[in-house]
Amino acid sequence: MPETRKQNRNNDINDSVDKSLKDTSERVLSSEKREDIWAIIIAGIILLLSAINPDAVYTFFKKTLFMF
Amino acid sequence: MDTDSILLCTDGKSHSRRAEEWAFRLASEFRASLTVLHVRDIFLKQFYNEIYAQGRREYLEHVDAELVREAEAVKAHINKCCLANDISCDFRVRYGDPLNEILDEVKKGGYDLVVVGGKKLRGIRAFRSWNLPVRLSSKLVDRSILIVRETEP
Amino acid sequence: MSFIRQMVAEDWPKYIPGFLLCLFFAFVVMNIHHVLAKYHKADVASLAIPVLEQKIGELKSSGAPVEKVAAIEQKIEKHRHALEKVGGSVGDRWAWATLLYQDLQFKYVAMLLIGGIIIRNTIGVSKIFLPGVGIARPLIKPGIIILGVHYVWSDVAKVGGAGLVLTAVFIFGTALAVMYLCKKFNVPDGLGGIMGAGTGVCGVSAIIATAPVVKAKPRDMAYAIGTILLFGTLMLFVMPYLGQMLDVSQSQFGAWAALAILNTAQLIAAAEWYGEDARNTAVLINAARIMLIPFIVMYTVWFYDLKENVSKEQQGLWNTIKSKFPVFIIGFFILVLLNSMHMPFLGGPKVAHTPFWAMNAVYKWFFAVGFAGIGLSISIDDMKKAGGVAFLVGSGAATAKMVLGLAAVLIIGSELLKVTGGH
Repeated sequence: MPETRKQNRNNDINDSVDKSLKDTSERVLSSEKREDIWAIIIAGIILLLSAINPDAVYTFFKKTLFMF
Repeated sequence: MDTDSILLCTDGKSHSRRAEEWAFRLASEFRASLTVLHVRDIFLKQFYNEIYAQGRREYLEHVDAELVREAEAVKAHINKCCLANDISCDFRVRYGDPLNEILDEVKKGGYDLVVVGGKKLRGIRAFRSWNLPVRLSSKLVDRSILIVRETEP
Repeated sequence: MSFIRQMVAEDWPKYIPGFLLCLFFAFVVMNIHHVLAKYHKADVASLAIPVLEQKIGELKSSGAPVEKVAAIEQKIEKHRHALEKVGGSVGDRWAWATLLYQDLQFKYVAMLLIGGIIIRNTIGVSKIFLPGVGIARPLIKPGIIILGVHYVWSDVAKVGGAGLVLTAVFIFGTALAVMYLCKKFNVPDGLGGIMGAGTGVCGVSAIIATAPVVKAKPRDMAYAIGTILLFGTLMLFVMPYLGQMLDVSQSQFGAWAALAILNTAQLIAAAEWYGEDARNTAVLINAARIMLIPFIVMYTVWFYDLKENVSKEQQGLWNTIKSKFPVFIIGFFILVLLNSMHMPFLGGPKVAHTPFWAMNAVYKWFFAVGFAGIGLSISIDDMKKAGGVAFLVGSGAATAKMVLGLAAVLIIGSELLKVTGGH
């Protein structure tokens, strides 16, 4: 097989693999900012629920969830 | 005995040199097609979501770039070997868990012989779970496998 | 609308199985913890009631004040209540519960982490669960924010201030020492940089923040991450027992752990394991220290003179802080601020039937799910990758920090490190 053809074949394979490598990065990426904002939103929801009905929140997390 | 296709698995490090030499020699002796497989472990990527990890995108891009760069270096080395041995080979890079990727490549490529380098592991590292060639040979039950030690006996 | 789309990962369904697994694991373990705690309390009550009754008799005969007697009677009432919960009576023993819960400190944190590690490394976690297990870990963040109700500004100024000075000295001291020694012994800048940052602050998180800047090599990163995970895990299991052996007070332990344990999750786990006061101090110092991540990145850039490796948008103090600052910690300080204002309608973690009291009941569940995720994702295979120079540097830095950290907290004493919560 001529050298250039061989090289091209190798490059094609590598290009497709590089793309798959980038794709896995895109797929696994969970932005830290998104995660942080979610954390604040969740804490905000808990604060809101606790302000509306503290006893219900307390009972659910301290009693209802403990079944045994 | 028919050996039409050989798969050489190399990590490009010095302990794989003898395995590479053996694979090239066998390929030319048997006039078999030679495929060189290089697997880069992407386990580093999973750490991107450490709880306080900042700059995750830059981290992932950096890991990708480094993995590709290292694979390119191995490819250049193999190309040089091919020229020196006057042999043609098909070079493939895979990214993932080395054992699984090699098994998958063997399954898809239907190779007759798999050649791997076997590093001498000392102390705690001699345990089976560290030893890729041993794990590979136990999984590849229907294929011949040649484990080449890094030094002459 | 685009904001909402940005906030939800496109492929969110793949996270569901693993997340449900973590919820289930956390639920089971929390219930086991609850049962152990219940029987342990009953065991203690069974022993305490006769002693307290005898004491009342003595006090009455010696003509002690009524309040004193009433206080003990109240204690007896509490113990009787604990006995009632398990349907036992005075004289019954549940020594196994005391052994597991108190002597062996077999609490939810330990069970989730040890159990998770055992499950992950023996039967393994199926691929379908992995994405969800990863997403469960950040649930520790809302837990930390909620813990903000335990602090007031004076705590932040006192403990956070003392902690911040202490951690700043330790963080930059370690980073400086490690980077300097690495340079002296010709360790590549990439490895020296990530080890300096990693052993200085927050372990793997700091490695991730600095690796692209110092252009660390994958093999070095594997060594460094493996080493830090290995020592973090070792410390997590060794320090609580060591602390008890050396009779270190709760708040001192919290500060000591915050100096010696790099990984946030492991730190919170160790401190929570040791006790509530230890956790309060550790979380506050941790909040102070993670704000130093942008500065350690800047320091690394300066130390190795790597300006050209950093993109234009990320150069300078403000841009580095903007890109590397952990935003969620703002939520924590908002709650501290609200708690410091002493607004009656918000109450406090110990004032019954108030919002903050209810919130305080929730945080443990967030931690439990997060710890389930952490336990299930600790792979011994990753730790086995520890090695090379990184291992020497990591073990040296970890030991030095543990010994010097202990000396520092013993010199400072409990008082300065104690979180009052405004009481």
